[in-house]
Amino acid sequence: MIENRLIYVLSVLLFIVGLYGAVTRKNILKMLVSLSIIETAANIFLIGIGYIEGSTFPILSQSLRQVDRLGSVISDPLPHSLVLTAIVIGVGTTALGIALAVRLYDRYKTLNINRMEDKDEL
Amino acid sequence: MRETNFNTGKFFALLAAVVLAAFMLSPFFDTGSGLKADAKLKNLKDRVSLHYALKNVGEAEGAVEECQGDYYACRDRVKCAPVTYRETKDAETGPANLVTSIVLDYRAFDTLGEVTVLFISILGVALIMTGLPALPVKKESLIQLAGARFLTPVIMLVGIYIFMHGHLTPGGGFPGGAVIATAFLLLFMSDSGYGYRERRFKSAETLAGAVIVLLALAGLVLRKSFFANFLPNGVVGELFSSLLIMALYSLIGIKVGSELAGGIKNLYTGEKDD
Repeated sequence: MIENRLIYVLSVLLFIVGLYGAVTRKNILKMLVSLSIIETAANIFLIGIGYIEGSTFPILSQSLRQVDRLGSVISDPLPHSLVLTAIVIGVGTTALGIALAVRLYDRYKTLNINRMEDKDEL
Repeated sequence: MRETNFNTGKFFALLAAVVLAAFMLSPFFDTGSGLKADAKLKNLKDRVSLHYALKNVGEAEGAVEECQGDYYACRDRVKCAPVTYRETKDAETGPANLVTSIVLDYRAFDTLGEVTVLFISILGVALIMTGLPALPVKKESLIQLAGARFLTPVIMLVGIYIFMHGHLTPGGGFPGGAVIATAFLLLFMSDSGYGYRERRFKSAETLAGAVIVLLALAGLVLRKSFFANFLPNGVVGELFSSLLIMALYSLIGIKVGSELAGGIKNLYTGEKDD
């Protein structure tokens, strides 16, 4: 049994919202927004794993002067760095998706996938 | 006909979503005898990541090798000196921002892949947008033009600050580059007389990428490991500490900034087909 943490449940719900949107929306830009929501949910889940009760951000500064062997004052920096990578790759995929959407709009003059099918039949 | 299809589709999507949610949430209610991950990881001192925070990953690796790979058996043997802001000198890695120390030192190879993925996706944008006609752009108003001319240098300065301070504060090359790209977006949107010189952006991007790989190869030559940290690390928390990471983040900032500016330009006006 995983310890019940609200953040895990919330990230699962956000994932489901994004998935539902990606499946049911007809507008391509809304699909891309839904995919971004799914990605955000995954990122929140990873950050939630890295969080430690009562900890602060893992950056040494005037307010956090020392990290010692007990290490209980900071949250886990490893998931943060993984999420950093994931965010950048998300930007790349979103840019590519938007470029495809622009191209499709140029061809069909609509972003609705049903109307695109209708125009293909003509 | 279409209306009913529409509704059943939505119903099944909702059903599938609910089933998937139940599946994903089931571990929260499972009381079986599986792996109890979270109980062991309540503190940073119980996690392997402690050594990233204490900057002694090399020593930890050595100790684990002595114990034939069983980390939890021999973790007490690892020497763990505390890391203090503006006092610790010449540690294994320099940044005060521990996330940066992972991203650009321990896992720098990963970041090289990340830069490559971004490069390829922007290349894909350029490819997809080839031959599209330019968007009809409204002529800018005076306020827009004056505001853009005033704000562009300020935004660029903020971007440069963000990537120069990547080892001290949140941020780094990718956010800094994105901020610089927004400055160019402002120019594209407001100043129709702005001459975008594609070749200069491309050469800045290519040069930065090549220097990143050269720095990695220099680590391979001098310290026998790709992306090894071969420049002095200095005192944790000072601006001119961890010089290699500062250099890498500046290069990544330049690369990402010029790359995203080119991508925005392509989305805005279409790639020239020639």
